[in-house]
Amino acid sequence: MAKTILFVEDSASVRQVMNSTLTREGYDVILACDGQDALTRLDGSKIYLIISDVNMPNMDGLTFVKSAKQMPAYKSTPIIMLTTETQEVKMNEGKAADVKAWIVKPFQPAQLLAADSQLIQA
Amino acid sequence: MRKLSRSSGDVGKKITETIEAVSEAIEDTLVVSRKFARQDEETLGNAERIIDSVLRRFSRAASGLTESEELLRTENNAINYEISDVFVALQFQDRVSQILALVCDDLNKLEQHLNELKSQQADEGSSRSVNVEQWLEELSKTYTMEEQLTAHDGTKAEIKTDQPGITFF
Repeated sequence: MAKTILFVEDSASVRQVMNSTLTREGYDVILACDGQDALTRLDGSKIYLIISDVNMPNMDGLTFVKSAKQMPAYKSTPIIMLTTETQEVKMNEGKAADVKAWIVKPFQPAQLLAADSQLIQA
Repeated sequence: MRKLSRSSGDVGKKITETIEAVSEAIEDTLVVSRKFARQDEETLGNAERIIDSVLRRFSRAASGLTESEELLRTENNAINYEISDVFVALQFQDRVSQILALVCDDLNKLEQHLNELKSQQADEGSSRSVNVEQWLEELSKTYTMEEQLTAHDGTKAEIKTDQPGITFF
């Protein structure tokens, strides 16, 4: 059975490319356009990995991650943050929120896929 | 005695006729057998030629398929590289868009601030100016990218494309 990944990103084009890349790799992908939208997708069903952008309208990625981690079903779900942020303060905030990997944009799809399989298998 | 001799001669004659008939039958059988053996040989030869031709055609088709597969694989790799490049370009566009949004917000804030100063000047009659250093200091606090910090003091910012990218915690 295909493993489900929640991909949260406000850029529609990045969302579309990553959706087709992840689907081609055999994952089921749930897409959300910001943190608020992503929270509505968390209905208790199993999600193997959450990939989220940091800077997004309505609700930013770190606020979303902190809310998701409060839910028992997603307490141990690994999370990858995608960001243009290079500031250590933000990165440490992510680490404190139990984020497992921090990817600075621009990244290649292959890099993200490698991180995905590493975290899903772990 | 004569009767016995005649009877024996008849029997001998019949035996000779029977032997001749059997010999003829064997001869005919041999002819037919040789004919069938020749036909079998021809059929076998034909079958071998057909199998050989089919195998050669199959081999040509398989080789064509291998070439097509290689071509498809190469094209698939090329497309994947192009998708990766486009994806990276999209992310750059995303960064530029974020920087522009920040610049626009700051320009709007500056316009508002200038209007406030103008109305204060009209009310109080005294002239006030923008504290540029403080303004820039405040603006730099909103930067989230290394390139913005570099560009802030007038240095040309170059976006690094070879940065390691992933940090695992």
